Amino acid sequence: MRLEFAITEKQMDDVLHRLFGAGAHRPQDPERGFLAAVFPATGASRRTLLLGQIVEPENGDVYWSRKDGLVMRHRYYSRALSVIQSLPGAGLLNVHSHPRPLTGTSPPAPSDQDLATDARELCFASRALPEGRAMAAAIVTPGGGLSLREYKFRRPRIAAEAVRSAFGPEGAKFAFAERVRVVGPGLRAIWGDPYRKPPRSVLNAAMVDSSILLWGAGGQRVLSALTIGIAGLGGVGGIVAEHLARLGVGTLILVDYDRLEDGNFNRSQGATRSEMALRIPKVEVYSRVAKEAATAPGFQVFPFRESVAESAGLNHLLDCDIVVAAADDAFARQVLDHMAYAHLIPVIDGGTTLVPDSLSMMLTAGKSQIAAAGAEHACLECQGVYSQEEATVARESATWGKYIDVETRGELVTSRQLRAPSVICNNGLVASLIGLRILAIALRVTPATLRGTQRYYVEDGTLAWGAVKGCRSDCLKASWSGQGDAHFIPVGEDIRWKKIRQQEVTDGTPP
Amino acid sequence: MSDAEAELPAPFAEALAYVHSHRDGEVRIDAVKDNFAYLWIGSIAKNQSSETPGGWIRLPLAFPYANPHGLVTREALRSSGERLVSDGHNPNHDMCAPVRGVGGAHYYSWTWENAPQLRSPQDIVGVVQWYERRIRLG
Repeated sequence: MRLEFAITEKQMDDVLHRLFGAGAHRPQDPERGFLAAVFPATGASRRTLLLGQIVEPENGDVYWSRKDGLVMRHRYYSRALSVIQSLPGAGLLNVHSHPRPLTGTSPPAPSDQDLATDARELCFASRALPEGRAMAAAIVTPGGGLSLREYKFRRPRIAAEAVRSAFGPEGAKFAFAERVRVVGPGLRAIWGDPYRKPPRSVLNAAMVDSSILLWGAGGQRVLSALTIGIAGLGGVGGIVAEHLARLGVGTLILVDYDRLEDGNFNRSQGATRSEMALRIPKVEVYSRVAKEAATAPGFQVFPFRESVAESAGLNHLLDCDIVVAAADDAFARQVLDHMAYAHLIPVIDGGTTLVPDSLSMMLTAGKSQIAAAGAEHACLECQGVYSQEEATVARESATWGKYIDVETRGELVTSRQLRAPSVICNNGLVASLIGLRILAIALRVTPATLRGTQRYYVEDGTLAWGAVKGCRSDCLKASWSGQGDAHFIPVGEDIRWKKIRQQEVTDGTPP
Repeated sequence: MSDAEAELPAPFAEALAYVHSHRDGEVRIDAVKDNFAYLWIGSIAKNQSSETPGGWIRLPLAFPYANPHGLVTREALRSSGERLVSDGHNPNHDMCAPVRGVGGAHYYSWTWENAPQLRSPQDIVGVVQWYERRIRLG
C-alpha cells in the first residue's frame, strides 16, 4: 500500500508561519519544530496520513542545541501524548524545519541525527498510545518542501523482548510518503520521497498541444499525475470519463453498478448498440471509452461494479485525488460529502433536474447544478445539493417511496423506480462544467471559479453562481476535516444494488 | 450485548449507550433490516399510567447522519385525548415484519422531516422524547 501525506492549504500556511515566519517559537534557532496529532486515512491501495491538531509548545519545550540539534523536551512529549490520547484514532507526528533550500519544494532528506533522534523519541512515545496508532516524523523547508516518514515499531509482549534491540528504536522500520497533497480550495501534489525521483511522465505533445498552449507542459504533467474517481457512470459520469481521458488525466477509477440498457442509451455518449444489447456494466463501457480517448501515455482506468454508498465501493474512491459525484442519489452524495472533509479529497458534484408540464409534456422548468465540496469549500449539504432527510429516504427499502409496478401483458414483472426526465444536452453541459471545475482546482486556470455552486436555469438559459459561499454556522463538516478513518462515513447497504445482486444470482447472470 | 449490537457503527453504539444511561426501562436492538435498526425502548409512552408503554423506533444505522423513520408498537396507540392515533397508522404493515415475532403489530410511518436537526449521538434522548410528543399529539 503506498503512503501519502495530506494537509490543507490553511494548515500548510500555519506550519510555514510557525517554522519560518513571525509565529516561530524561538526565532533565533536555526531549526524549529512542534508535535501534532496525525490521522490515517485508508483506501483500497493508498494510506494517507493527515495532519491533525498541533500541540502548542510552551516556553523551553523546543530548543536548538549545538550538540544535540533540535531538542523536544520529554515534558512536551508527555503533554502532546495526553492530548493525542483523547483523540480517537490519532497518532503522533513530530515536525521540524530545515533551513535550506530557501525555495522550491524538493523533499528534504533527514540527517543521521534526525533518524536517530526521531526513532528513539517516537519508539518510546508509541508505547503510551494504543498499538497500531500512526507514528511519524516530518521535515519542512521554507519553500514548502515536505518529507514525511511513517515509523513502525515492534511492541514487546514479554519482559525478555523489552530488552532486545529489535523491539527498541534500533528495530524501527520507516517508509517515506511518496507524495504530499496540499488540499483546499485547490489541489497541489508535491513529491515527498527524498531518496527517489518522481516518475517522469512522458507527454504525447502532439495530442495535447492545444491545451499545452494554455497551461504548459507542467500543467499537462499535473493532469497526467492525477487520479480521479467518478461515482456514477450515467449520462453525466460517462461524458466526464471521456473528457478527463482526453484532457490527459493519468488514472481514472470508475464506480457504478448499473448495466447499459435501452432506457439509457439516448444519453450514453460513446456506448455502442452491441454493448446495450449485451447489457454490459456501465463501468466496463466507460472503461473502454476512456481507454480509446486517453491522451496520457500510460493511462490507466480501473472499473469497479460497486455502489459508493457501500464501503466496498467507497474504498476505491479513497485512493483518489479528486472525486466526481455523478450518482444522482442523496445517499451517495452524503457519503461523498463526509469523505471530502474527513479524507481531504475534493468532491465535485453535478446533476440536472428537469420538470415537465404534466399536461403539455413540454419542459417548464429545471436546473443543472455543479458544486465543489471539501477543505475550504462549503459542504454539499449547505450548498443545498441534498438534505439529510433525502439521504435517509434513499436508505429506505426498495418498496418505500417513489416506485411503480411495471406490468407486461397483465403480469407484474417488476417494481421500478419512477424515472426522471433526462436529456443528453443537459448532461453534456454538466459534464463540461465539472471538467472546468477540475481544471480550476488542479491547475488554478480560473481561480475565481474554484468555490461555490454554479447553476444553469433551463427556462431562461442563464448560468449563475449560488449565494452560498460557506457552510452554515452550525454545520459540523469542517470539524471532521482530516480525521480520516477516525470519522464514521455513513455508508450502508444500497438497497437497489442489493436487489440487483440477488436477482443476478437467481438468474445466473454473469457479473 | 447481542450479535447485532456488536457490529454497530461507532456513533450508533455511542447513541445506544447514551440512551441506556438516560432512560428507564429496557433498551435493546431487536432487529436490523437493511439500513435501519429496530430499537426497543421499554419506557416510551405518552406519560399516562393507563397505557402499555414500549415501542420500536426505526433508527438508521447511520444515526445521527440519517433520520429516524417510523415507530412500531405492540398495541394501537392512543393520544392524550384517548383517541386512537390515526396519523400514519399502518396496522400489520411490512415494516413490522422484523419484530413481528416479538409482538410488533402497528407501524406509524412518522419521518423526521421538519423535526429538530440531529447533530450528535446524544440526540437519541431527544428522539425518544420527540416520539412521545408525537403520540400525545395523535
